[in-house]
Amino acid sequence: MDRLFIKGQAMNEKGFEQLVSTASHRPLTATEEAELEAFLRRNPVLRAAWEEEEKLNALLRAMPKPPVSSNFTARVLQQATAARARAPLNRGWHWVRAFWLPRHAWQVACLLLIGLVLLGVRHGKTTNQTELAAILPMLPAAGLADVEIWRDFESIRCLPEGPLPSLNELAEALQ
Amino acid sequence: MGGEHDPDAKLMLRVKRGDLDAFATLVDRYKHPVMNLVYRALPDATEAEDLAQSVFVQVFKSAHRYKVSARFSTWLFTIARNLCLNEIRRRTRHPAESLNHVGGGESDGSSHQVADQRQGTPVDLLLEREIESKIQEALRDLPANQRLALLLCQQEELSYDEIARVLGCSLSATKSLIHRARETLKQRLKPYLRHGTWRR
Repeated sequence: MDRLFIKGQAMNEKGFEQLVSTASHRPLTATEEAELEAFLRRNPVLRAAWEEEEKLNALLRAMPKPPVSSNFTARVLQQATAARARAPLNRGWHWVRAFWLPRHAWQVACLLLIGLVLLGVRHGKTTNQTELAAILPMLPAAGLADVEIWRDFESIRCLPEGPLPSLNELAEALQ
Repeated sequence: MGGEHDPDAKLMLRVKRGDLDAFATLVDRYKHPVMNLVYRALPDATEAEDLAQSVFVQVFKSAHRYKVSARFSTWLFTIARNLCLNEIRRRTRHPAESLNHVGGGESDGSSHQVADQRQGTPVDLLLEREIESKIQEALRDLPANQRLALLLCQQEELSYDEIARVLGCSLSATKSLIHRARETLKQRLKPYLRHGTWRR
């Protein structure tokens, strides 16, 4: 079809292209044929190419249709009925089979991976809790310092480095 | 184009509810176009009718998944196209597996030949048969996607948009496939396009 389009003839090119395309799909209507004829009269150089297109269309359209057996529909219905009879057994497993289709494989793999990660995290937590619960009874309860002792921990920790003021200086400062 | 006003889509919704009469109507309505597509799409045309029947059985089995998002014919030809491609691939992998060829059973291939009901002088008929065989040969040698695109283009009920949907590619890619197929055919059939005659 490239030969049908020549630069400089852009005015009806689109319409002509459309008509050629339509003619390859179905016979042109009387109006379309008139439009085409008018275009070809203005552009006679395209007539030979158009005729070649139209001959190919005619050849393809005139190909004899293959015969269809008289019992075609009956045979299809028989097979469809047989398929329907088998269907209830398979229908429940349809979604399982769908999972194994290659196009779903990566989705299934991702789901499995996420599931495994979640299971791993959950298992880790459970293990930690179990181990802690096992250790706690063994800790010497009497040996643990009283909570009161730790009340000023932060203040003590924040004392400036270097020599501490003497008690007298502190006393003076308090007065 | 949506399928809301498509009478075939309404029939298919009845099929979805298990209505066999509606299914029979659809099969009767589409058996010729589907058979034509399958017959021309397969490289050797044996078992074409079996495959055409499989298309409809597949339609029935997939009825529960049918949604009226497009015209019924688009859905039907998509199934036909997929089964054709599967069969072409299977035959490419296992070229000697045609049951009719191997088994020589009920059908010896002759039942798939086109009944010639044309009239004319023996010379005319001879020429027409020759052209037909050349076209079939040229079609057979096209890449499967180009062949299917061209054959779908011959189905007048399908628009270019619908052909694109059936083929699963863009409109421009579809037009390109058809264009390339036609260019190849024009090259192959040049002597017949210039001098050959084809009486209808």
